[in-house]
Amino acid sequence: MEDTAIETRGLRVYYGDFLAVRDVDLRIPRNRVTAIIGPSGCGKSTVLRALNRMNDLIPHVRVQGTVLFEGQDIYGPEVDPVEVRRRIGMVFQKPNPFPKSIYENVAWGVRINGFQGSRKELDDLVEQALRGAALWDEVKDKLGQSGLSLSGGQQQRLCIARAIAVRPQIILMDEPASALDPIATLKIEELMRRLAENYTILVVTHNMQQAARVSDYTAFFTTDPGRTGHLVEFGPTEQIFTNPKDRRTEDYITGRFG
Amino acid sequence: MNRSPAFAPNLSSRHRKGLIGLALFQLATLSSVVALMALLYTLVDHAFGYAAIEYQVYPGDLGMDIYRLDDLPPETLAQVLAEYLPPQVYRSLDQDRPLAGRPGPELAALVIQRVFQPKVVRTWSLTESLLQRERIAAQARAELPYAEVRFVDWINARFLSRPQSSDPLRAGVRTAILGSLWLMAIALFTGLPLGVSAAIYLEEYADRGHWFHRLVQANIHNLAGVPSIIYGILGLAVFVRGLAPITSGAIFGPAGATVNGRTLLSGGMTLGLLVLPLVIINTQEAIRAVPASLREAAYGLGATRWQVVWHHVLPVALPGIMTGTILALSRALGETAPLVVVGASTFITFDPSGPFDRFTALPIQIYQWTARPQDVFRNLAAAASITLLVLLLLLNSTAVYIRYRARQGR
Ligand SMILES: Nc1ncnc2c1ncn2[C@@H]1O[C@H](COP(=O)(O)OP(=O)(O)OP(=O)(O)O)[C@@H](O)[C@H]1O
Ligand SMILES: [Mg+2]
Repeated sequence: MEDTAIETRGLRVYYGDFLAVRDVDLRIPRNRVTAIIGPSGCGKSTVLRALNRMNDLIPHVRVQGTVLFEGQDIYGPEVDPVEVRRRIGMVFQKPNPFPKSIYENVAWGVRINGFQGSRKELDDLVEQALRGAALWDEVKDKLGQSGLSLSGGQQQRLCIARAIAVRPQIILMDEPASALDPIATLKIEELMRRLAENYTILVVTHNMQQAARVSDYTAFFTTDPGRTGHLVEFGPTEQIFTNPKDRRTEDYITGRFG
Repeated sequence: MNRSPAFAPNLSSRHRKGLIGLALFQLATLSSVVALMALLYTLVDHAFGYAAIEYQVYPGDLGMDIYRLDDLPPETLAQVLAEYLPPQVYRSLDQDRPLAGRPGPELAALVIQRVFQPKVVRTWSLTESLLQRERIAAQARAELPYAEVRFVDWINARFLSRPQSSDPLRAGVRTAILGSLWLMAIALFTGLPLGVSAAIYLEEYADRGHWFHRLVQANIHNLAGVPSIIYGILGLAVFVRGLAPITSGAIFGPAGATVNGRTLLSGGMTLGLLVLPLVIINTQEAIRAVPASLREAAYGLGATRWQVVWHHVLPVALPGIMTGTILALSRALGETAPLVVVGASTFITFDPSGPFDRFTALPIQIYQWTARPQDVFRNLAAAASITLLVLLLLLNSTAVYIRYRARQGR
């Protein structure tokens, strides 16, 4: 088994009294792309948000179980969720750049996390992040323009640049390409492959081909009759797609379900 | 068309209902427009028109016009005084300060007050003045043979720049305008920070499900509907009486202090309380309109709640907060009852110079003029009302402009 970046043990998430996902035991390998697939409402986003405590922001959410990151339970009493979110970044379904300049979009996260360096160092950091997100060449001449003036695909890459600028270890992506056209989607997919050299990527997707193309590992979730989501199967993508162990996985992948 | 039996063929009756609805809506719109026009018409009708003025000494006999005295050389005016004033009055005035050395406007005022002594005995509305000029002239000749009949614009630059006066020809709204502006400024400085802070707390920090939060929220909505006079009573008890040493300025030394707490500060803070619930509600709405995706993006980078609020929520909500606050202030601008209770003075002729001064305000001034028995003050009230409406219009168009700019920027 590979080196683990983050691991859940007996993870359960409630919205009020509603148990949205139960008993998730997952080990996400370091510096790999892991895809989460499953029918709508099976709790993919819920699990993803549980991994960097974004769920804390939603009222009435309760999380049980442990999420181990760097040998520590991120739900432990001495852990600050703010620090967790810096180290485990997130990219959302709909591109959501700040209504600020392209430069500020990237620099803001760096600054608010207590960046000490000079203006020059910040410039370099912004450039690195934009290069890292394969956006530099397209925006280097208009860093002062609003982030909202970019195309949807560029905006999403800006969001990725913004996320990697604060040097996270893990990047969570919730259907990052579902609002984009095929060409922009392809760019994001290529980017994910490249990012996996330095980061652990966890991506939720509804697109089977995408999961097959970009991911090294795949986790398949589904729901109970009671609408509670749970993990069915986790393994190397190749195995999940060619030789699933569970009947439900096979049905879903071949399109006989959901 | 292919008609399915499950659907009753009632399209024409549905259209008919729609037309009836449309007619009702149009009627409603029309009536509001008519009501508004009627309001404006009444104000303008009274703000201009013929007036019959009687004099002790008829200025025409001297080849003068009371509205043109400022153009005359001071020597001429001094000469008029010497000629028409009783000798002992002239001497005592001259002993006060030599009349020959006094500036023109002061002499002009003396000439009007002591020599001409104009008195408005009758006024006509603008409609009458335009349509029935002959009748007015005939009526004046018959009933008021000694009066000069002239067209007067009750609202003009002189009216705006003069302080209050008991002489309707010299009265103005300068004191009241300044009082209103001071009140707005103080209400803004108290209501805005308190309201915005409370709204931020309620929206971003407080636990929304908690019973206490719901209680507070319900109360704020109720407070927004509390009659303004009750705020006046609160202001009287707390600011005028309870905090008298502060609101009168006494604790900052006797210089410039007023004998009691009936000052601009008390009035302004009372209005600040009055707008507070509105500012809170408007700010909450503006904050709520900030997309959740923006907050998530910021939190996702490891921002603290404060950083999210300060760097992202507030800047995006700012235009909404500003428009909401301005609209709340424009409500305060027209408030009369709480100011009466807090003790706005009805007759003040000096400009307010600081928060510890006694004050009057435009709506108070209007109220006071409408309460006077002489007809001519009705004209002044109309003129002051137009002034107030123009101020309101300015405020509201600022709000519209801010909203427009915010939409452009997006
Ligand atoms: N804020 C919320 N409050 C209450 N219930 C929620 C909330 N968010 C999600 N749920 C419920 O939790 C369950 C899992 O939702 P989640 O969004 O995680 O599903 P998902 O797998 O991401 O679905 P999709 O593929 O449509 O995005 C669903 O039944 C959903 O109705
Ligand atoms: Mg989802």
